[in-house]
Amino acid sequence: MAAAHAEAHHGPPIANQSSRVSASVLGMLLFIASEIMLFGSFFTAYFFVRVVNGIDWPPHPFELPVFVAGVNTAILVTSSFTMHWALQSIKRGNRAGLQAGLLLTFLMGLVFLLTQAREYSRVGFAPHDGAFGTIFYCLTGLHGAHVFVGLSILLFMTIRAFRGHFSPEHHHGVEIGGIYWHFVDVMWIVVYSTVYLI
Amino acid sequence: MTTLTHEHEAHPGRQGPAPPPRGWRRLLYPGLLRAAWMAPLFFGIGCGIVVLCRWWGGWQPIWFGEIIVLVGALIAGPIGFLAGIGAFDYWVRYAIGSPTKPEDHSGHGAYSWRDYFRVNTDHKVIGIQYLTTTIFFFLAGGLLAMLVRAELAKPGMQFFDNQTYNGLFSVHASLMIFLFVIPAFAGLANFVVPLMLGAPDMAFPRLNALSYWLLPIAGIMMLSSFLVPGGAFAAGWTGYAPLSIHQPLGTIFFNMGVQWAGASSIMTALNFLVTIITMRAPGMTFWRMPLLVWANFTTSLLVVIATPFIAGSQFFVMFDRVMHTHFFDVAGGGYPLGYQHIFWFYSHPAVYIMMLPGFGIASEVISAMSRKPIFGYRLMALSLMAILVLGFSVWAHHMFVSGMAPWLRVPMMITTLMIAVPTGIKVFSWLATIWEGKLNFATPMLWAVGFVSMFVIGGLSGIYLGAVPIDIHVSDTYFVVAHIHYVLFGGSLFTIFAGIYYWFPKMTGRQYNEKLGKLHFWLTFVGFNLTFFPMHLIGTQGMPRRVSDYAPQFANWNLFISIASFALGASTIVFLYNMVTSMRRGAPAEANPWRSLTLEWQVSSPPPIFNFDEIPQVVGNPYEYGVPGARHAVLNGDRAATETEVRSR
Repeated sequence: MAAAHAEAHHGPPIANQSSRVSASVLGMLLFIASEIMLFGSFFTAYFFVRVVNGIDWPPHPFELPVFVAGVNTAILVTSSFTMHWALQSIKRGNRAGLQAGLLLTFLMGLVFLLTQAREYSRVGFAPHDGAFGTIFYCLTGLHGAHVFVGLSILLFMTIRAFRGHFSPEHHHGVEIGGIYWHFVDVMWIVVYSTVYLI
Repeated sequence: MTTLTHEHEAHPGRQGPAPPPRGWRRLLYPGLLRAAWMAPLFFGIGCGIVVLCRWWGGWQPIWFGEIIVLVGALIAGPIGFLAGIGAFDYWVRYAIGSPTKPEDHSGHGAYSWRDYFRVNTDHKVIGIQYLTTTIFFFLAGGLLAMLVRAELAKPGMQFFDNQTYNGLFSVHASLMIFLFVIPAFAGLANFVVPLMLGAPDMAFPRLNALSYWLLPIAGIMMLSSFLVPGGAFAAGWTGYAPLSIHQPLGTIFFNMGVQWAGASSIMTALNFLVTIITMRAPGMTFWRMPLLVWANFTTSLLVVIATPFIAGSQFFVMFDRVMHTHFFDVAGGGYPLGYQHIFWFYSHPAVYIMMLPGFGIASEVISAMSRKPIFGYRLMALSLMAILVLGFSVWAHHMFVSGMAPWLRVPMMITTLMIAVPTGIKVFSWLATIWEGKLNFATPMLWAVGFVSMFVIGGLSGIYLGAVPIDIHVSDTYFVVAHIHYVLFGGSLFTIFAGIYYWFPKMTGRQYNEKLGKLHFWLTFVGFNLTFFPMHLIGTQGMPRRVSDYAPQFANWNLFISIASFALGASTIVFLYNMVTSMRRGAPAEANPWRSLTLEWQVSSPPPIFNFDEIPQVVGNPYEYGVPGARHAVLNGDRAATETEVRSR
């Protein structure tokens, strides 16, 4: 007991790890579950407008830039691979690979977001142009907001990578930010196929 | 056998944060002072962004009040406040790659009352912050209810006009639901769950602190809607669109208040889930967890999955209002009924979010106070999971008269009635636990037993309402008001009181006044029944809810209800007096006044700053009362008290 007394004031006891999954990864996965439900509520609104009300998609004078958005999709999907490359690099201790991977991912995400903004200004309708415009802008806008958050996380990871943080043993920051970025990409594929393609 | 307390942990000289610097540097030190200038600064930045965007996009007018209020006051300002009190300090340093302060646990624990007014990462401090904040909003919401009853004491218009009256009951309901019942359970669980699991803290202490500080923001936002032009939001706590879209400015205070409160509860729920999954003490399998932990596990799953839907529904209302989108506008191709579907897809599970933690508290109290193992432990836990799953399949029973697709009615009725099965399993298990027990009718037990009896009444009227024909008859009458108060007041609030009295000795290290506690229970119990039971009668006779004036035939009952409700409101004074005086001057509490077996009672009252010297070893089930030699856990190499020893004390 004497030893316990001596250590008592230095901090908490080490918590028992009762699961193989790490706390931060599990936290991120649960957060993503919650995010999926947020997208779910927007898709429910989409369902009501497009399926229940059965409006034309897109309604007559408007057209969706399917090709440009398709190229944009390809950019975003590619950025998922560079993200993965960055994580694999730091796992093997390759710092240059980590930095290049994060930087490329960030730039591709930025290009995606700027293209999206450009598309908004040229697409020819506004959020208040009927339920079609509403759903289009709110679904792509919600996703855009997530890209923005993902880009911020990527920016922070990149800064840390260039300031010498992360190592083969400690790369949780990259892993968790990476999970979020993959989620943003997968979500875009769902948004793209429901809003643009079908 | 009080060797389990850790006196040496008490106060080895002042730890805690370093004293704040003097002079102007104090303005940069995280705390309320920094928040006082950062909140206005962020408000200004928010306004600047709005004006810049509108100028760049060529929208007129550039200075548009509604969006300024929304972005500046309801989004940017609160973020500035959070940054000011220091909720983001660590993360900002981490994000830009600066060396983060090595964790010296200075943000942990409370050494003076000031430590409750800063960002504190100690789950016990956060639990108490939660409880005091929610009780404040409980009082505010209660006073609004008193105003509602004052207006309804006589037919005709007394004190308020219609819009103000609508605002009163809307804010009453929103405060009680989003700022009292849901976070009060989160506060109790925050204090108790890590202790019960044998964990030193929650999994993400900084996130925990942040999720607390979102709450006062949400509450003040909802209350302050009374001050804006047009008055408070007045479309009810359900805020049905398209009505809510065309209400005065106060509505966006509700829309955003719900977002802040919702974000807070999602973060807390995520934290609970991760804590419960990854931080259980060795030997604490899922089937050895106390039922309170089970209850918070299922509740947290509900919160994480369902809450985004109310976020979505409030976003849609706000967009329809400020961006003139067409989510719920028929002329533009929108679907008005969509609001109710999306809203109730959250808000029906929310009913269980507001009830399941109470089930957990009742299980703890009833088992310990009956000195018997909880009856049907596994089925108790499984029925929580059954409620969780079924809870997502019943939302449209709130919409039987809304004009939704008629084929949806019967399936929703069947699933609704099915939920009575797991709930019934729980009620009968509590009864079987009490059956032939050695009952100790201390205050927490009174509340728990009061809860079971009142919840049965509320549950049965819920079955009535779940049946389509009866629902069509009593929809939007006082029968519904009676039902919701029997489940949320007689159900949730009674268990919150049970929990507060039960863990009061653990939280404060002092014992509450038992006589006043019992007086509080009986005043509330009688006042509650006199207030809400007659509402069943006038409801079936057809008195509509949410009206400030009514037919003279209901005058007598309404006067009776109003008088009873004032008595009910007054009973809260006994509670407050008891809490305040006992906290300051109550008799020192033992470590384990209820002779419970769960882990939080095996440490001192109040618990040591890091809960345990060493992580305990769990060796048995938590409810083996009356089983000779049974024990739940072993602490510090010492033996935890066995049931035989506990009884011989």
